[in-house]
Amino acid sequence: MAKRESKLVSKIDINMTPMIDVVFQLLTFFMLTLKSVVVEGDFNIRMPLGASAGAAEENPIPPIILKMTATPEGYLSGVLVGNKPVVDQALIGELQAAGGAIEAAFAGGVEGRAKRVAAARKTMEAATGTLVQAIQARILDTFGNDLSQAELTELELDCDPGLKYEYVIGAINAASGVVKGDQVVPLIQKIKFSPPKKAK
Amino acid sequence: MAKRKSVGSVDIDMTPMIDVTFQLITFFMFTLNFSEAVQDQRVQLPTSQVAKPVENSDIEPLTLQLMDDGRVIYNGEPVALAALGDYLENEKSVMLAANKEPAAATVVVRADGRSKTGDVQQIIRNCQEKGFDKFVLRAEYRGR
Repeated sequence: MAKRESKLVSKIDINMTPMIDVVFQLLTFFMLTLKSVVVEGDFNIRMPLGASAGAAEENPIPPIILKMTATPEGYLSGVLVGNKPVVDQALIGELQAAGGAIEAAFAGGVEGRAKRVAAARKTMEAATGTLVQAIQARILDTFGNDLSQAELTELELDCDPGLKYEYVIGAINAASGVVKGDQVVPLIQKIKFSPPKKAK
Repeated sequence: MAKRKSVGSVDIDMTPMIDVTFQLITFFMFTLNFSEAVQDQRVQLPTSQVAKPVENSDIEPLTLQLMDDGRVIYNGEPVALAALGDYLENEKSVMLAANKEPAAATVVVRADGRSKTGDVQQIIRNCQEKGFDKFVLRAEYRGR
């Protein structure tokens, strides 16, 4: 008995080949489908339903109106807070050039497009950063030192319909928080778009 | 030829290799991005430093992606902005059938940085007409 058992056990040999084949297939599949996840964030915007709902709600603090005008190509041509211009012509030129660079990066061939776009976006980000600071300085000005007012205040974005969305996000970025070191001090939380003007 | 026979019984110990391979598989499985359909490469989001982290609500948000040419990606297919109303109507009836109010769902607008602001506003207006009224604008988060 003992002899037979030991003989059987020592002879068992599992064929590993199919398993390793499958395992490597799986490994290759997961490696190839790996994609770096881009971290995304949200901006809440408050768009009450219908004009009547908006009118019924009384807000003691008047909204800040941020007006952004566009060139026919959709580049930013002016930023006004409460009808006063915020940025000088030099920065506007810089922002327009950055927008044009992004456009050009997309227009070129597929070859190396991602790299060109990334480079163009860097320029845009730098220019938008200056814009953000200018808008922020103006908004902080209106509040003085009382930032608690900011949370109650509403920001209304009055943009030309042709304006590129990138600039709008820049403005919302400026209005919704100040970056101080590692922290974000929240500013205006109620952001909405102006009702559209009737096309003539 | 005769020599080969004696070599034939060499056994490689597979255990460490299989251990490592399974570890790798597990790693790649967990890092697999399931939200791929939502992060569409056809849309290049603008960047921001202060965007709030994405909140997960219990109701599936409705994601509308606006491409730079003004078309909207709905269920992975680009549709004209003018036709969006019909798709939203569809979405609304599905929600109502499941006993959910459209107003409870968040509409996530992922718009390309080069798209027109007017188009974004048009999307919002279309959604409002169908009863959706919570909106978030999505941007790519850039660390400071």
